[in-house]
Amino acid sequence: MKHNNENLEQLLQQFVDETQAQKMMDDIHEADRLFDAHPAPAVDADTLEALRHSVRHQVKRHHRRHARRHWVGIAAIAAVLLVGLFTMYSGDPDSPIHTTTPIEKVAHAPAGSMLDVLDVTPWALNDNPLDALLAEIRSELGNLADAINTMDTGTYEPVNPLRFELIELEELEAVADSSEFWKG
Amino acid sequence: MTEPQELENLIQECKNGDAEAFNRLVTLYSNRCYAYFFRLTGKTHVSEELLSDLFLRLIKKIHSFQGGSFEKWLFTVASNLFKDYLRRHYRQKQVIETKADLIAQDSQDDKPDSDVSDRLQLALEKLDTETAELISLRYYSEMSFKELANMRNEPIGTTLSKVHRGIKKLREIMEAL
Repeated sequence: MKHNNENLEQLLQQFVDETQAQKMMDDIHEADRLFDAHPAPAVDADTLEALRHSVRHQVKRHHRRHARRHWVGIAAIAAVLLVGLFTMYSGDPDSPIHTTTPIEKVAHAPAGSMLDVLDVTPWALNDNPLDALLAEIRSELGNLADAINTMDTGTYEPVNPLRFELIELEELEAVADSSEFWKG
Repeated sequence: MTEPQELENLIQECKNGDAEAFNRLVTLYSNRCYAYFFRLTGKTHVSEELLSDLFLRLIKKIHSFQGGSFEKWLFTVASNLFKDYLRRHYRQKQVIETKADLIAQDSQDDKPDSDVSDRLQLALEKLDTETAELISLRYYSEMSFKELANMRNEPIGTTLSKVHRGIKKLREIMEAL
């Protein structure tokens, strides 16, 4: 057994006088001899072999887990970068991935270019989509009422399908009206 | 004895995930670490378990070793494992002691508690845990007093005085045995 008594004498003399230091050194050396005379048991060979096997297995597992964590980290960083790039470029109107909304289309249309404006659906032009729907329903109802009046005064034709359509449209209007109550 | 440069290379290989490098560390340090655990617990199976835990913990923690004395780092991990074991052991003992029907059995178990090999072991068991640990560290870690004091975060004079008092007490106990 190796006894690390590096600079022991000088070390002891920093704290006690020379005689006391010598006494302490003797005690320490005696204890060194005592430990040499009573060696601790060594590890059993089978235990050591089992430990080596376990270490080999654990190192591989640890290394695999470490590598997996490394790649997952890289994938996460790549995903964040992609999302960041997409967000950055989709806000830029000059970007190839920028998508133009119908409102933007009208806003950016050159003066006098009616074709672009006509391309836009009425939903996009109207601030309130519900108003547009109501206008469409009212126009349809008007057409139907005209048709029924014509039928009543003209030749016989089955009226039931038309009446069902009329009822359905009236119901739609009622729903549209009732959903406007919150506007005051 | 391994040269410092050789040991440094070996640790680097361990950090790179080389299983055989870890096994070389096992060859180099297993006997000293086992002796340290055995002198403190006096039990073969507990010492083997602690030794296994130590090397498995080493695999996880080797990246935290940033140079300096490897012995100091290794035996700090070993010392922490021993303290964890002590806490578990005392907790278990407390649970057992609250059960009256197990007290008799427990006291019977106390007799062959250690796999006693020699008088030194018996004497170490009679010392308080802190002193026994300090003396075991001194002899099995092969650290200098300076490193020991550094590891224990105490002035070198304190470590020297504790070791000296401990070995004097140990000798007295051995003479009385």
